[in-house]
Amino acid sequence: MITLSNIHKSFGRNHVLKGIDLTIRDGEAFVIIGASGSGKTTLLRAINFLERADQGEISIGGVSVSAKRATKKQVLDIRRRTAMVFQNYNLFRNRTAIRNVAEGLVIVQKVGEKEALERAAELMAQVGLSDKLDAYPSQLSGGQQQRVAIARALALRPEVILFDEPTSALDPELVGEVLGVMREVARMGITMILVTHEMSFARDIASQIVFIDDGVIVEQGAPIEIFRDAKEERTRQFLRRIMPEFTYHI
Amino acid sequence: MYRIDYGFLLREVWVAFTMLPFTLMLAAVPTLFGLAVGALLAIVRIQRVPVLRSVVQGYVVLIRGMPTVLMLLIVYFAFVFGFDALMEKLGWSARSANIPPTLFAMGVLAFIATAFMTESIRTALLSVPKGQTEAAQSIGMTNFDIYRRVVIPQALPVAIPILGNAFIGQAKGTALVTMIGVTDLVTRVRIEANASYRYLEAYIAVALVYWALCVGIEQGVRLLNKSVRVRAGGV
Ligand SMILES: Nc1ncnc2c1ncn2[C@@H]1O[C@H](COP(=O)(O)OP(=O)(O)OP(=O)(O)O)[C@@H](O)[C@H]1O
Ligand SMILES: [Mg+2]
Repeated sequence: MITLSNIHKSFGRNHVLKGIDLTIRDGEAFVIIGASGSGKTTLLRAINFLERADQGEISIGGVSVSAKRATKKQVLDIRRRTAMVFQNYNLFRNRTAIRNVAEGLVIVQKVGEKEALERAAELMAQVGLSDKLDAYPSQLSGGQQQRVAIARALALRPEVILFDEPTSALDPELVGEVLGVMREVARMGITMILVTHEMSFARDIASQIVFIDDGVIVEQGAPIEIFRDAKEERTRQFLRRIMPEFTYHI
Repeated sequence: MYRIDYGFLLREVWVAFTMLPFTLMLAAVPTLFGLAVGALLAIVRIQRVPVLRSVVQGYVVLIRGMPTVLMLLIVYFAFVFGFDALMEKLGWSARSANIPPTLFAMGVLAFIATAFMTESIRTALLSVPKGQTEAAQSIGMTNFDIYRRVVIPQALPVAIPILGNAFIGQAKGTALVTMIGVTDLVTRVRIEANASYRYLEAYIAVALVYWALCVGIEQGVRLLNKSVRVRAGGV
């Protein structure tokens, strides 16, 4: 279980997160939606300390740390319980695809080289890239890079994988293959927190959806409660803007 | 009309050439020192170590904005006067005149080299996109491992040409040590020219040797760069 309580974060005088409380149960596909600039990325990055929140508590799988006072060791511990899939893939440019997947196993988890490469190869097969083991990131399409990035995250068997708009940098024809892999991840019961603008995908896989606006949680619920029965006018407005066709389907 | 004495020129090229190992040492030792210390100072700046980073920044700005010749002379005289005054006050017998000029010149050159290396290394480290570091952090790598496995391997191919240029600048700068009493190739050739007034030939000879030295360094850097690029996986 992951709980965030009272997370605050400011960049200078810009108060971006204004007291976020969330509970994510194991195996959930937890989707965060919200307008551009509402603080979704910042929230995700606060969870694994890529951004240090100013206030609040983060607890993952029984370890609980203060965002503000977490020590180096605690930060490392939290990061080792999480993995992240970035909008721009961020594969290690100096390593082949399979080495990208094996890196965390060898360097962080101290798994032997041989075993690490075997497991990495299995994961590469899972994301459908058995023929690209030795390709460098620069030789892969965006969709392929993102699938490697997902394999890299899976390799560590984290308690949660954080996805930040994993398909929004992709050419439209490449979105499907990545969503396919993510659907698989969700089916495996791996806890995921996903920021996305892919509303129909969110509706399909999400167990919970939260709508964030201006650094606060406006509304949270199962997909149907958000997409069909949103209580807050702000949520309805956002959904109308982002998926105008939606209104016709009801 | 002035006629170039090619025989003398050629002879002086040889004289200058025999001094090349000395010049190479004057260039290389401060550069290596600068590399080691510069790497540390670059990290001090990048990791924003409080106070220290401002000191380093001030030092780099000061040195980089000053002609090497001025630096050499200012440090030389400041040192000579300061050192002797200090020793006198302490009642010690050491005097600046007893310090070998070569050692002194290397000290000043190292002081200069470190500033340029700091900046070169910082530039190279900053060329690695932030997303690379963040990816490494996100999988729980330690800072040490992040530098070792991600940042340095990617910064090297960027660093080598920049450092190569700094090294060449450093090599050229060694031509100035004659001003503070070091006997280098310039000094040697000038002594011979004093007898014949063939200064033009003498300095052309020195220039040719410097030119060969710099071309040599450039080729070395190119080779090094190629091998690093291959190992870094075509970054
Ligand atoms: N490193 C930073 N420094 C300063 N301000 C930042 C930084 N990162 C984010 N912000 C600001 O915080 C606010 C929230 O940004 P954030 O990236 O979290 O939004 P988002 O919801 O992810 O938006 P998008 O949908 O466009 O990705 C914005 O006003 C942004 O300008
Ligand atoms: Mg974002």
